[in-house]
Amino acid sequence: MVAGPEPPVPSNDPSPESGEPIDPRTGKRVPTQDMREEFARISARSGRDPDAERAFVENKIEMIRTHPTLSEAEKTAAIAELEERLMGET
Amino acid sequence: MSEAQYAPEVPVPVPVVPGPEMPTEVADERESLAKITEVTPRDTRAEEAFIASKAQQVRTHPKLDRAERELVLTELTERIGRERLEDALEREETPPVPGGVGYGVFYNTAFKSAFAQGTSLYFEIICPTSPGGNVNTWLYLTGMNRAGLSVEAFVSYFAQTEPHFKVYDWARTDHWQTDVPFGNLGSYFGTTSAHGSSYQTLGVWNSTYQISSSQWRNEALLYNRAAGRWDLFYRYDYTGTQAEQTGGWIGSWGPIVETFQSPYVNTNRFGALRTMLISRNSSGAWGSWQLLSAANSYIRTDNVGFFQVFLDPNYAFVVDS
Repeated sequence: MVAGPEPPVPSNDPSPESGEPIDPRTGKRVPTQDMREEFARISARSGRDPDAERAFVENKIEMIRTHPTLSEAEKTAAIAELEERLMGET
Repeated sequence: MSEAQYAPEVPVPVPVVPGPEMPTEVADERESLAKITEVTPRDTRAEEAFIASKAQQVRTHPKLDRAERELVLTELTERIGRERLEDALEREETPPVPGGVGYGVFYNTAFKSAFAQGTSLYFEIICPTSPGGNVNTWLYLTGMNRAGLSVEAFVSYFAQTEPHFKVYDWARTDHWQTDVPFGNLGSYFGTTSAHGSSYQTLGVWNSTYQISSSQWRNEALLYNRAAGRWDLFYRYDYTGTQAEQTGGWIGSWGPIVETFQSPYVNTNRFGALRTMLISRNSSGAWGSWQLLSAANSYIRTDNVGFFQVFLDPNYAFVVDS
């Protein structure tokens, strides 16, 4: 495999204002651009797809049901966790 | 042998099992059963489903390699008749969601919870501009960083239309966030070589880490190849607990090819390269990036037609069909 650039590690500064990753080897900030607005603008144009959203959730449940190593009890717990997480979905 | 010559005795010892006494006599009931068969209407749908199912079994058989599948399919076609087989496959009803995992990596239970104040995943998604083959519904190339409230920053195919790059945030009630068509991602695509082939890739980095005693942050970045930098494109801060992050099933999948149909045939290659994770301990210090190993994870395949092109256990894989 051809080696690419090493990805930087996340910042050790846990404050909410800490926006940029810091390379702990050098202590320098890693070049980062905040593209959130740009991506949010493009995403808004894409619109929502209810069929895709429903399929996404159904497939996750299917992944649990057909999991080769989970026990029945673990599957039940995992589906319950999923349903709880999806409660109040908007 | 004519029926007149046939003796009802069979030249095979009758089954004998320990315990219950087994019958030893044999009766010739062919005529009566033939009569019942004659008055029973044919169920052509069931017959077609039977044939289609046989083809499906061959195409998804976990122990047959590509050449063996081709060979067996040829045999099946000869035995059933091409026209009949094609008709059956055409009329086969699509099951609700035959979904699951075409191929991919899941974290072991111990590794899934082996972080305290944060976890982060980097991987390069091998994502051709078109899925190719017979993809006629969704297909995802996704992965999570282990945290139960983290994000899926993933490539979403739908049939042969333009793919999108999306974010699904498990920490929110409005889960669906980023949705960007491939056409807008030109700066982020790169080419990575592995095992003698070149692949179009997206470098995706998503992290989940604690920012105060009760607050956590999800963020996702893309490697901007054109500019040589990381672009932060998603961030969300929320209330959570360490138990919610480390426990449960959500977050247990690393890079996977998530599937919605079966079988897949003649698709392009999908996969993941350089999958790495890093953990943050209870003191708030990050460890070092580690390639995902076979000791920390396992491969799941639901046998929906994908072939493993290669696997570097378990940080890199490529599949096709």
